[in-house]
Parts: sequence; C-alpha cells; structure tokens
Amino acid sequence: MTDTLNAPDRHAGRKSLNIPRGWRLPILLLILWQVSSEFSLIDRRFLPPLQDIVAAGWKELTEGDLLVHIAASLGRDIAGFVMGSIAGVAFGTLLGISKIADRFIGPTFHGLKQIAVLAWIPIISVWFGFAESAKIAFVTLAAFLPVALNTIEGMQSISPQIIEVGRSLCFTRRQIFLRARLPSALPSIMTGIHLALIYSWLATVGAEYFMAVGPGLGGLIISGREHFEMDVVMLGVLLLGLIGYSLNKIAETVEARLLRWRDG
Amino acid sequence: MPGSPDPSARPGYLSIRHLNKVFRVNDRRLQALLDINLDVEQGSFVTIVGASGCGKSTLLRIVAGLETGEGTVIHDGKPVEEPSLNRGLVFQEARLFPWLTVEQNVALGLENASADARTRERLVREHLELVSLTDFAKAYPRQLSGGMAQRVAIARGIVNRPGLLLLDEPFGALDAFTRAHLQDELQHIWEHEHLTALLVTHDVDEAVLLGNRVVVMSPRPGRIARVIDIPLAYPRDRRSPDLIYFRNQILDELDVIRGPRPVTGKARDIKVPA
Amino acid sequence: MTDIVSSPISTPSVPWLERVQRVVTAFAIPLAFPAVLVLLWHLASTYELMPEQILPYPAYVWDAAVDAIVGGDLLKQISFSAGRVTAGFIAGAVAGLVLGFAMGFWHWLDDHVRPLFTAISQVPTIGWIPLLMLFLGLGEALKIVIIAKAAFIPIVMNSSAALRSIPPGYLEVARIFRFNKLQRLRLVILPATVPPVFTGIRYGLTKAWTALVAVELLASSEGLGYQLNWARQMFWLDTMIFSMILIGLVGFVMDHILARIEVRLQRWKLTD
Repeated sequence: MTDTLNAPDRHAGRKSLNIPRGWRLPILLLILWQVSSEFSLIDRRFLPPLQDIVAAGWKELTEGDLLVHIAASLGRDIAGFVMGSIAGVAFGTLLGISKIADRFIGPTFHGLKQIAVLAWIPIISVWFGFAESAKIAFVTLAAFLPVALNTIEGMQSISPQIIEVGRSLCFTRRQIFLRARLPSALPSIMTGIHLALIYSWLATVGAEYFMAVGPGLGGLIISGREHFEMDVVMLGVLLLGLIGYSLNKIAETVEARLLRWRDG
Repeated sequence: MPGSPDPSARPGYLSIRHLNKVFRVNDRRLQALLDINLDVEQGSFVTIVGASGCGKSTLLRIVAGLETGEGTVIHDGKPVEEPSLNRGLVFQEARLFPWLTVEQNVALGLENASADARTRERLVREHLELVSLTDFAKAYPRQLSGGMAQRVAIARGIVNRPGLLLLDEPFGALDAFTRAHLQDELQHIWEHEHLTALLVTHDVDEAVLLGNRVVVMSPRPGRIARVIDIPLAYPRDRRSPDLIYFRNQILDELDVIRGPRPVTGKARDIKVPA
Repeated sequence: MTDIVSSPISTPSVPWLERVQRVVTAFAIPLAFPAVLVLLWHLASTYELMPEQILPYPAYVWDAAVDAIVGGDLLKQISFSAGRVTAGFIAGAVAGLVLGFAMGFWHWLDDHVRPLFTAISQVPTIGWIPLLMLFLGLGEALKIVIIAKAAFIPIVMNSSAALRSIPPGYLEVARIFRFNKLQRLRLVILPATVPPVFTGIRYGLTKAWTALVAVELLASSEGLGYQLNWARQMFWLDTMIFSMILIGLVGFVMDHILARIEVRLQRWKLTD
C-alpha cells in the first residue's frame, strides 16, 4: 500500500488515505450511516447501528432459527431448480428437434412466457394451497422457463453444416442427436440452467413472501418488516444477496469446466 | 471430346450417366446440371474445375449422396442414393465438431464402421500420423490453424478407408502457402493410400497439379465442356513447364466459355475533389 | 443402369393453395394447441372433474373480461399500473443514462462507483421491496422507487459500456477524413452507442414491468397486480386468469414496440 519508491514526498501526507478507489464510496457511506445512527441524527429504528445488525445476526444464529430458515429456503430452491431444469431440458429438446411440436406448442409457450413469473403466484397458491408444494411448484416454473427457452434455441441453432458432416458419415438420427445436436446445444442449455439457478433463488424468496408459512428466508424478512425489526430485515436482505451471489459463482465455475472446449 | 465416355459404355468404378439437376427458385427453373456423363477409374485422381456457379459442387454433393438429381450415378456397382461409408467427403470448411478433440473428430469417421476398439484406435493413430498431427491428438479444434484443421478433416474423411474420396474445394479457404503445402501432402496421401479421388476446385493450377484427368465445366447450365488427361508422373512439381502447358489449355477453354471480356466500370464518373 | 437417382422436383405451386397453406401455418396451427386446452378445460369443468374453485368455466373468464372492459374497471386498473410504470421507468432511465454515460466518460468515476453499483445490483428487486417498505411506507413513493431501481440497473450497465465499446478503428477512419467534433459525434459516436444503449432501455422497461407486478402484488390497493391479488383472496379464478393474461399482454406489447424500434435503429446489421 505504501509507495515509497516513487516521489515519497508528494505522497507522504496521503499515505493514510491510500484506499482503493472502489472502496472509498462504500466506506464513506458506512461511516455516515454509523455516525448518524450513533448520534441519533436519523431514527435508529430506520438505520440501526452496524453492530446491531451483527448482533441480530448472531442472535438469530444462536437463539433463533437462522440456519433452519436458510436450509428451508435452499431446500425449496434446489428441489424446484432440479425439477424445473429437467422438465425444461426435456420440453426444450422436444420443441427443438421436432418441427411439428414446435409449430403446435411453440406459440402457446412463447405466449405464456410473457407473463411476469410472479403473476403466477396467486393461481399457483390457489391450485396447490399454501403448503410446501405450492412454493416448490412456483420455483419449478421459474427454473423451467429459462431452461426450456435456451434449450429450444440451442437445439434449433445447430449449424446445418455440422448436420451434413453427420449425414456424410452415415449417422443415424440417434447418432446425429447424441453426437451433434446435443453437444452443440450444450452451451445454450448451460446458459439456461445458469439463469434458472438465479431465477429459482429469486422465486424461492418471492414465494416465501407471498406464502409466508413455515421457515424460510423470505418469511423471516417479511415478519421482520411486520414487527419493524430493521436489523432483521437488513440481515435477511444481505443474506439473500450473498446466497444469490454464491450460487451464481458456483454456476459460473461449473459452466466453465463443462465447456472447456469452447474457450481458454 | 477426348476422355468423355460413350454413354452406352460399360460403367467404370464411378460412373455418371445423363445426370440432370434442376433447382426451383421463386417459381423459376434453374438448370444446375445438364446431361453430365463421367467415369472415374479406380486409383485415378479426377479434378473438376470451373467458375463459381457452374454446378461443380452440386455434382460432387450428388455423388456423395447428400443431394439427389435425375439420372444415374453408380459407385462400385451400387446406385448412389444416400451417403455411404464407402465414400469419404472433405468440405471446404473443416467442419470439425468443436466439442471433440482432434482424435475424437477423426474417430467420428469410424463411428459406424465394423471395427473393434483396438482397430479403431490404431486406425486413428495411423491417420493422424499420415497428416502429421500426432502431437495434436488431444487438442481441440479451436487450437488449430486453418491448415491443421483441414488436415484433420482429411484424416476423418479417409480413416474408414473409403473406396472414393470426395473433396469439395478443400483448400479454398487457406492462404497460398498452406494451400501449396497441403496440395503436396494430398498427392502423397493419395499415392500412399491407393485412393481414388474426385476433387472440385476453382483453382486451375490446383486442378492441373493434382489431377490425372481434369474435367472443365461451364456454367448456366452446368455441363462438361472438356476433359483433359494429364499423363504426368506423381509427385508433381508445381514449377514444371509441362504443367504450364496443360494449364494454358484449360485457361483457353475457360476463356472460350467466358467469351470476350466486357468493359466494366466508368472511372470518369467518380469525381475526385481537388 | 435404369436406376433413377431421384424423384422429380417438389410439387408444382398453385397460388390459392399456397395462400391457404400460409394461413394454416400462420394461425390455425399455433391456435390448435390452445384450442385443445380450452376444450379440455371446458370439458373438465362441465363434468366437474375439478372443483370450480380450482378451475372455473372458460366462459366465466370470458364474462369477467367482458365485465371489466364494459364496466370501465379494467381501464382504471391499467391506467394506474401504466402511470406507475411510466413514472418509475422515466425516473430510472434518466438517472441510469446520466450515471451510465458519466461512468463511461470519466474513468475515475467508474472506479469509485462500480463496486457499489455491482453490490446493489446483486441484491434483486424482490429483496429491496421489504426494506424500502420500512423506509418509504406503502405509498406511491415505494412503487416508483422500486420500478425506477429495476430500470436503472440495466440502463447503467449498457450505457456505461457503450462509450467504451466504440471500435477504435472507426475513430481512426474519422481522423483520416479529418472529421470535426460534431461530425465525429454524428457519424461515429452516436451510431455506435445508440444501439447498445437502446438495448439497455428495452431491457430496463421489461424489468420495470416485472417490478411493477411484484410491488403491486405485495403492497397496493389498485393496479393490475392488486387486482390479481384481490382476486386470489376472493377466490375469483376467472378474474385471476384474466389479469394474468393482461399482464402478459401489456408486457408483450411494450416489449414488442421497443423491439421494433431497436430493429429500425440497427437496420444496417440486418441487410441480407
């Protein structure tokens, strides 16, 4: 951090301020926050001091059921994600390789996907009740859409030249699918699954907001809001972002490994 | 026309009789091929040369079985109706599967062959050696240069030991140095493997260098204008004056097809600011 | 040698037959599947295979739609939602364009702001809603801020990248022809930056619409999302299905219009 080799005199007075540029604004904001809540410039209920949020986290972790909440949310997330992805790949493959299926079912599918995913929650909660199954059904739907879309696109966008190579080598339909169509659609399918991982996490939290029965991170945030526990809400939102970020990172790593042939 | 077969003669190894092909574009008939008759003897190297749009690639694709036309195409005693493992095909673009390594790409040619695992492995290794890419067996296509990719495509085309190798402007997308190098390599492979080859090109030098028989095609409608035999020994040297003699013959033929050169462009219309 | 390699070329074309074929492929086939679904739905409710609370008569949905349109209620709800989405979107777009271009122009600003921006954009809209509910209450301000934030993120991303993505080769061409500043702006910079910026705007509008649905479902007493939530509480499935279709339709129309403009802006990309 100290930079004594070049022009030490000019920098001497600024040594203590040599913070990476990207950190300056967040640190400034955090200091402002802390100061204003310490000196009650702003109602502490709105901006609780940082130590309160840490304390809330510790309390939820040790006395409350924070881990139970997180585990419940992640469980729903994964269940819906896996089912939605499998259904999405199957459905997308059908529409991607069968012209007839695409002609008949495609327009309906592309019409339905226009509906903002959250707008499905009310009808799903009517169909499935407020039970666990409704939440998982909604997460499944949220994961299904991007996977199906990208699978269709991947299957349809294979270059006809590659298919022709298969034909000239006397490939059967099965071989053309397994050897050419599927691998060439894989990057697109992976993109869909990657998106599904993000969407299904959002859908999990969304479903928990609307059907705030049972443990879950979304329910924790909503009940924190109802009881005006700003520290709990902030903790929840922070966790929501962090878990989403980690899931995204994991997906990126897996994707990069599976598609090694493409770049690097 | 010298070299052109009598349509009623006994069929050769590959024999094409009265082949026509019509495309329909916006309700208009487009005669792509008109009454093509051609024989290719076993072990020969026949090149087809012509301007773009003369139907030479269509002809090759019909022989490969990728397209159909009206008429008869017999290869090795069997009518050509669909692609066969007895015919290898090399395209202008290498068309390697980008998700497979070099050796896996070559092995694609054995996908439907009746060979056991060990034979497959040996064949792939031998053919990678033949195109001098043994060191790149585990590489992915994106790591290859254009010339290397095309050598993999050639290995894929012959790994199954097809009776007939079809090449559709295989070096058309390569730079001049790589092209010359691969032309020499192809001569060597053809001799070494005792192949029968049919190569389509728009490069007259290439046609003369590689073929022991050159078929000159003319466009609209695509038909055979002339067949020229080149009785020179292989491996051929591209600097040989004999080649230049045959080359000029073909260029004359193509000039006749093209007719007098039209005057193009009106330089006077472009105003250059002072 | 009498083997004919191919069959004759495809069937001759008859003009009226072709037109019928075109109509069938354009309308009849895409509508066949929904028609079958509606028929099954109708049969299922006629023979009471499903309780009415789960699946109402298709005719009821139709009636609810007609009622809402004739009664003027629909127009009221749509105009509430449209007003919100417009206000929030414009606020978010203006702020996004200003910040995005500023970040694209001044590197030091980008260095300072980017990490914070990335952190904020990592927390999804749905996470901000409860937090902002506490700060802003449940009124209009909450909705506008949520929608503005949703539109803001993609617009900042695209506009900050747009200025940087002008191919240097084009600027070199501009130098060779000795363009002045205005010419450079008109002939190089604008054509190169407008398309990516517009893509960000289009994406921002989509995000804004989704955010509207979310915030209206969670905290609102009017608008399409509210109508949907209200219908759920009353178990009016007909109104619910109708509202969903509307939400999809409005979203589709908005995106479609912007997509058309986008194509016009990038016409040069599509020659061929």
